[in-house]
Amino acid sequence: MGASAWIPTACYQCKAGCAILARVEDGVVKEIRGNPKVHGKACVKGMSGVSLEYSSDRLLHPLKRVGKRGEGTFERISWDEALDIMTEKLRDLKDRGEAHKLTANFFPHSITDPKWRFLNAYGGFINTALPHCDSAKIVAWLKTAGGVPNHHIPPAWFTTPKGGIVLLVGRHAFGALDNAAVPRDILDAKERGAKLIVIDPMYTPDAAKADWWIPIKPGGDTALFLGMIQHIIAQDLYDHEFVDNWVREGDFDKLKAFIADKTPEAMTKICDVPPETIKQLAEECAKAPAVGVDSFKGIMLGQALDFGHAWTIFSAITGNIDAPGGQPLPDLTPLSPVLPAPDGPSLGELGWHKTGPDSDAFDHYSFIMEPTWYEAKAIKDGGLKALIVAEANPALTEMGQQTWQDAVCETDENGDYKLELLVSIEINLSETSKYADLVLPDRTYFERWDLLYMPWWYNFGQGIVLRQPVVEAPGETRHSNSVFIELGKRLVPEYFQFKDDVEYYNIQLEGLGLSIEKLQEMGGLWSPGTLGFRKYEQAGGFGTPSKKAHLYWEDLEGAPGNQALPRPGLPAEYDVNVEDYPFILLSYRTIYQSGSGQWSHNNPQLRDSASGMYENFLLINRAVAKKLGIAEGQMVEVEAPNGGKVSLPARLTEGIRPDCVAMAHGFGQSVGRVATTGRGVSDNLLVPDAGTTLEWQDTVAGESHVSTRVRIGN
Amino acid sequence: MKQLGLMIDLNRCIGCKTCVVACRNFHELVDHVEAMPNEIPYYLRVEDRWTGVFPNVAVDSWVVPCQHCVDPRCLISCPEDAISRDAQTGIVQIDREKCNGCNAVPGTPGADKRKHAPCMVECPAHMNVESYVGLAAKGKYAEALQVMKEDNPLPAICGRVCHHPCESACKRADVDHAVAINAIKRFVADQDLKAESRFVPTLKDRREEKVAIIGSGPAGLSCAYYLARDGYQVTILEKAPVLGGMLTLGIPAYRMPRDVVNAEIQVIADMGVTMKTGVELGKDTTIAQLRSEGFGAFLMAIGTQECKQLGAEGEDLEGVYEGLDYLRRTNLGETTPLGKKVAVIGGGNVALDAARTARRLGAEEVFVLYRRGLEEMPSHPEEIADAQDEGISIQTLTQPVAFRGSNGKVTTIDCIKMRLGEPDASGRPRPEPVPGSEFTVDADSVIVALGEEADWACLTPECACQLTPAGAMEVDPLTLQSGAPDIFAAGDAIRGPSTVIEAIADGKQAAVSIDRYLKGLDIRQGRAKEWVAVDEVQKEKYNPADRAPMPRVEPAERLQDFTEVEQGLAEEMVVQEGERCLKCGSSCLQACPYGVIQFDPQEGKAHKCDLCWSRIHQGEVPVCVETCLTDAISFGEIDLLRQKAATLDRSIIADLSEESVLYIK
Repeated sequence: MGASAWIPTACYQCKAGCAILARVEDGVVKEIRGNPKVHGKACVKGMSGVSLEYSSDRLLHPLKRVGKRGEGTFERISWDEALDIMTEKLRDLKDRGEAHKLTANFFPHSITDPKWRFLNAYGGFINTALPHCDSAKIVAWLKTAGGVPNHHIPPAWFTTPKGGIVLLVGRHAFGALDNAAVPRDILDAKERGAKLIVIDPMYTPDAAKADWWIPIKPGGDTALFLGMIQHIIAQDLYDHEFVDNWVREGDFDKLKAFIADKTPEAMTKICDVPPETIKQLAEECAKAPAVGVDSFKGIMLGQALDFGHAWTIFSAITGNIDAPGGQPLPDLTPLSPVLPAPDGPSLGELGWHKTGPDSDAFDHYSFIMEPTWYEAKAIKDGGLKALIVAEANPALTEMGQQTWQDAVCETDENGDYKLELLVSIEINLSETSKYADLVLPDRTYFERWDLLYMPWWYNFGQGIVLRQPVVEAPGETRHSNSVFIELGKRLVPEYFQFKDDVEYYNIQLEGLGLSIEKLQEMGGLWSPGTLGFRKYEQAGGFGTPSKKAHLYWEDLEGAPGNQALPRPGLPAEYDVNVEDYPFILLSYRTIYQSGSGQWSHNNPQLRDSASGMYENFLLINRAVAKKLGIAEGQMVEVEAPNGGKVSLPARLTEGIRPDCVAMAHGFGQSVGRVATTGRGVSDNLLVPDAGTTLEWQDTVAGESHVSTRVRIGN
Repeated sequence: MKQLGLMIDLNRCIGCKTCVVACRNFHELVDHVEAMPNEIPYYLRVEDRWTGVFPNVAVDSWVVPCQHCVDPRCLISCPEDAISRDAQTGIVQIDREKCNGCNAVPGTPGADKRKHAPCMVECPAHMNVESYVGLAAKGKYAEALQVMKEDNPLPAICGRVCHHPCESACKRADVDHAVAINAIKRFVADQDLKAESRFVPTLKDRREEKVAIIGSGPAGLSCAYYLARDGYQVTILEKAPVLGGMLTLGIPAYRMPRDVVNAEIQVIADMGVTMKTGVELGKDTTIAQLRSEGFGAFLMAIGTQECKQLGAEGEDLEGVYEGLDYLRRTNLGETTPLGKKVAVIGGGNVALDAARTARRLGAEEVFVLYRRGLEEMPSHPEEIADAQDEGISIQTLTQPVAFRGSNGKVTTIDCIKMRLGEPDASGRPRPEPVPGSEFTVDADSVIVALGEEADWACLTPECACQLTPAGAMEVDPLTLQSGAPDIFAAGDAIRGPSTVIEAIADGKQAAVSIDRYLKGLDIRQGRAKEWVAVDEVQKEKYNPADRAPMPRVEPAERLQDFTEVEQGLAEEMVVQEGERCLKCGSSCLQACPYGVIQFDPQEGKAHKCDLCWSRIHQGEVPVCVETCLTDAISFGEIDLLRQKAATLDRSIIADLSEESVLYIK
């Protein structure tokens, strides 16, 4: 063994971005661990990062499309040529007054992300997968408590006391990790005497460890929570201290009037959970010293805002907002601004959801980013003309993926693509790359700098994690951040008067008396050291206009169906086609693919049957399968009302409701040496193009429905 | 010795497989550049066990590393002495210097080496043929015998009469001829029979539960062996005055010498099994009575002892005998007057045994009448050839239709010629009479051997067992459990007349079921196993000699007495035969019951979990322990881990914690 060292950095196999150590031996990364300084863990995806780093599928040079979009034929070009093409197109767009028709599709690792700065300076918008997962829940918390509990901040399970309740609602916390330490922390809480309760139509790995599994009807969570709220108030079990002091005056009375008929008996009809169960759950939650609910990436449905609203009300009346074991709210220590600070364009005026023909439908739109699922529609309508995609793969991961693929190929009367520029910045070729005009070779998280400033860092309190290069980058790879900084220097130089990403980060760190070098000396981590609770007490209230919690949202009285208080109904798409499409399709997340992208779908260890998933399959209740004559492993065809059809092997299980079938998300690749060897189908072929089913969508908070009814053919 | 091991808390394992990848990275098992899914070696795997019915479901995930067995099967199976068990820690390791991948040439594709050799797949008992053949090639007969007895307690018997599907599957036949596996097995087992002290396995445990086995044929003996080894108090009840069932009552001594049968039975008796002859269930005792005497489980291994009738006119004439009945009486020393000219009807082993026995007892002319062709005869081809060598003529496509006689004694047989039509339910061509082809043959006596069935008079009303329409006991094919939870059945009693090795395999499976049943464990869990055979044989290093023929006594001499016809291979031929094996798989991989040994195609060597030997000698814990996402795995001395389990208020899960890895919940 040669020189070997453990170097602290941050993972990016998935959005969680855990603090890790990488063992580097003679310039080669060999092993991964969670960073013990933050009591961290590395999961199976994190461990598999080594296979990503050295994959022979890595893109090493910039490529330019030579055939039609979708054909996937390219020629190698220089970086200069690639940057010139992009600069010319973006300058042209800006000169036409259409800078707002640039969208960059990426996941913002941090509020310090230089890509975001470029967009603000240039005048374009950011688009992420957030509206798929949790924008509605984020909006709900903003509206109720004025804080942004980003999806990285489930309850801090290490603060759950004995007797506390860990309530996972449609949330695969052991699969779609918010942090690799979450499963351990939940199990530790259990051993301390907390109770784990899982509400899910599927028997997930979380449910397998639960004290109580409640197999609810999909989408019935709002009804369940309303039933609990009704019971808690009717039995006078609510937290009087919190309601009296911290709920906006009048809101509780409005709630009481509204909730009177939302009895457990009434709600049972919607959620298919027996009234006794709803009552027992309500009483246990009301009496427990703490209840932490996690559902940020749980209920991905068009009426998720209603659920988010019911959840915040439930947390408020049980006294669990910003309390230990309850829902923490973030606290932000400001960094130094990099001057001059660009303002950025107004999403509410220039965003493509507001400039298109469906503008009226978005009258109450409240999220801070574009509704991702409307992207294909925006391309067709001319609202989106340049799209730069980094570490994302909408051609496969967008609901109604076929519609997205068609949209980027759509031409105008001159035969020119309506989407004038499509750039894919990737580690391996992705489905999106096949459609791109330019494919740019990205660097992995072992080869680049990132300043991860996350007020919501799960087990770290508010803090900073440094991602630093631990090995040499291969070929001509460049990190997407560097590409955007270069574009900034060419297009909006006044905002890019710094040398590179490191200098940009150093300026921001000055405010904390830190620098990249200092952070390196500190082991790549900085934290003020606390995770504060009941911060609203010292701060004189919440971040809402009234400084109190808002249970009633008067601004949404005019939203579709009046959303001032939560509507208990099931998602609209479950109420149609009931006869012809008898099953509700659940799209679930596994630890091998969740929150990731092409780079993990193409990872041999994550597609290996011993350490990941080779293929996905249709989970179906054993008794139902027997009735339908479906045997274990038999290929079955799943059809959706949108005409989508996939064929995959059946897996019979006792762990799913008889009225549901389930399919793991993240499969169906057509690119990649490994990804195309492993089998599987994409659930997005079955889900209708979200832009065409506005009546099923959340046009207030932007969350997409990722579900549909299906039937099983022959 | 301070046995080291792992303890895995099922309350904490979420089945995420982080340990699998961390382990691979540390041990550098992955070619990160070119690795493809489902081809990457692993030292750990994770299995799920589901129980219950929606919505009352439970699932346990548990990690399966090398179990570092106390009595490692991989260790004894290795012909190269490359596997050792550390005296201090009990850690089982493969010495990469000594391992030659069972003669693998480096660069051998690994995927096939991880599958099972066709001989092992085809053997109903799944004996580790490649291993005992390899050990025999090295002259390690005692080790080879131990390997055999893991799956077959009657190798000397089997080595004589087995229909050896292993040889039919043998890939060496692609080169010249199959390895003489059965002859090797016989030689190895015979060495033990000749030894001053025979191999008697160590009893693993001492348990009080009593098990009754009805029938002392190969199924009953096999079950008794494995249950006795597990420590149970086993009693065999045999209806006949001698032990062995079909081995002694059916098969003649020139094929199955009695001293061989007795010797292998004696080993089982030496293990503490009580054997009672002349006790007939249903008459001398009943299941109800045995239950009241404290027997907790029963194996019905009664075989098929009732002869089927032809249903032809004159079958009740004097001089018409039933095949098995004739053999049984002869084998018990009775004399049956046959006359000079004997007709035998049927084409199975009983028919040919009866014919050859009749020849030896003085019949001058013995002929067999069989309604299909030679190809379709169920008897082994070797036995047909032996019979013909002994002057027995076989008249195929001939169906007897009536027996004629005078003074109540048979004299002639009316026959009709047959031709072969479309396949019937058994897959064989259906014989059809040729109109107008009737003829008559003379015979002083006739032996009708058309098959046998079980006699279930032993089942008194309290048994809740069901029979199939074919007269076999209805059992779960995986567990051999009948409708009555404490009654199991094995061998011909569930299959109809079949083979010795199938009976032996059933006996072992029944023992596994009975053990689990008596311990109150799930008897189905983890037992359905898919046996996937190596597709394409690797041309590894092997001896180019052709197959050694089995020396036989000359036909003329054979008829003098019941001396064994097949005389067995000489030692040098056994070694040569062993060296002829192509080594389709690799011995230790096939031996490991947990499937945790890997094959490195580049080096052409086997490798596996060593509990991170290099780390633990530096005071670190194994990688799986360090990296477990939920801190579910502990490492240490097994005794201390047991104490820790008690401190945590967890129970050790007996059916998973078989060796040095404890599973707790």
